[in-house]
Amino acid sequence: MNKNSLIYTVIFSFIATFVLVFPLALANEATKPIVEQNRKLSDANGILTALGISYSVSDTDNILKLFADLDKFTLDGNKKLTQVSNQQLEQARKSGSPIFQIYYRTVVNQETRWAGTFIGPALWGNITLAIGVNSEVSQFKGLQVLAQVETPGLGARIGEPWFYNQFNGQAIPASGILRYKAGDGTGDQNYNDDVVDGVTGATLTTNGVRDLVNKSIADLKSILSGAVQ
Amino acid sequence: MSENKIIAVLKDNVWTNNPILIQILGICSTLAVTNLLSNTLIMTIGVALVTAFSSFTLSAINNLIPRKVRMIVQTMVIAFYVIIVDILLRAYAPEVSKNLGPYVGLIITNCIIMGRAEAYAQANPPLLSFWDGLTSGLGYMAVLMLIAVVREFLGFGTLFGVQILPLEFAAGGNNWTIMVMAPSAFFLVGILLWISKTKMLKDSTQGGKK
Repeated sequence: MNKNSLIYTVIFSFIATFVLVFPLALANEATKPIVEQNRKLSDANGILTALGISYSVSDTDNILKLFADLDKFTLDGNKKLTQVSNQQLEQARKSGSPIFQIYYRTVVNQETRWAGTFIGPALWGNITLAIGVNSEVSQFKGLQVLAQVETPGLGARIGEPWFYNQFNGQAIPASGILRYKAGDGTGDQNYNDDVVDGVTGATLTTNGVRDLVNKSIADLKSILSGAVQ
Repeated sequence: MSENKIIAVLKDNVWTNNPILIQILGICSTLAVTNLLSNTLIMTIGVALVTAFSSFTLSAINNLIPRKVRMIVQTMVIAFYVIIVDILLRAYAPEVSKNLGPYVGLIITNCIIMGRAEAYAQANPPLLSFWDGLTSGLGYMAVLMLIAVVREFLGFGTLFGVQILPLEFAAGGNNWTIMVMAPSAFFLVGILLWISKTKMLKDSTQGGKK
């Protein structure tokens, strides 16, 4: 058959596309459970750390159990917190309409703590943060970056311990607005002020985190005070 | 595949016809990923493997590809291998996948891969094309790692995340912030180009005298 004829070109293109795309679909399906398990573990790690719960990183079963034991809430039509069970969340996920906005509650050392996941824009795309606070929303219990697509080595440094550890015990000012200053790459060690270090050279990512954290504090204050928005 | 040819291809791709220093290909990723050695290493291994396997595949099916859809098929084959790398990283190295963010997907746009497919794999047998792709990736890796050593060392005071310079270097604000940012790679690539060209010219002049 003439290699440059239209029929040959169409048949070749069809076969080449099938041969290349089919194994990709298979590989994607085959690794889906592992990717899903990785995502669950990553989310569980993020929420537990944001709540200030200590655990062994290598013991994955224990991490998932600790995560399953957390009280979970979602917002009803009146923006009031309603408790949901793990079964309800799993059912919603299987039915194809998963509940995204979940708030987690636990008690550590007789202190009630709350956490939630929050999504907002940064430089290259959305970032997802897990933020934990006390029930008065006057102190951070932790912050974790669950997802980001910022510049590796620059904006992506928000996922490094020196950055997120600044929030472990950081006071939340009454105004609910946390300020960011140019840092030296080691993080702000004063937890009683209203300032944390930003990432030098990644101003737009820092601004993205700043806006998202401040908005999340406002949301948490509003939700935990039982106010109707 | 003679031994001489294997060595000639290696020398050509790593030194005399280096993709970055001579062909000036793959500059975008050179600027983007070279501020941390670990990211650079994983990215360049990805590029080397994708270049090798796509050159091998394209060389093997070269006689079957209609001219009209040649470049589309090349892109599809390259995308196939890049997505395989992405899927494997997401499943078995989630932390690395998270750190590299969008850069794995962007391997598709690396000019070196398409360049080797067009310039070499079309006219050479599959195994030699595989070797050509792999060594092109090694040439790319060598230059990027060299730049990354300087950038990470002066930018963070670390190498592969291990603190080398005293912590006061970064904490005291003595680190070169410019090294963390993309423009520094421009200067470093320029300096490397200058050094390598000078050396090559010197070698060729001395070779001529002999």
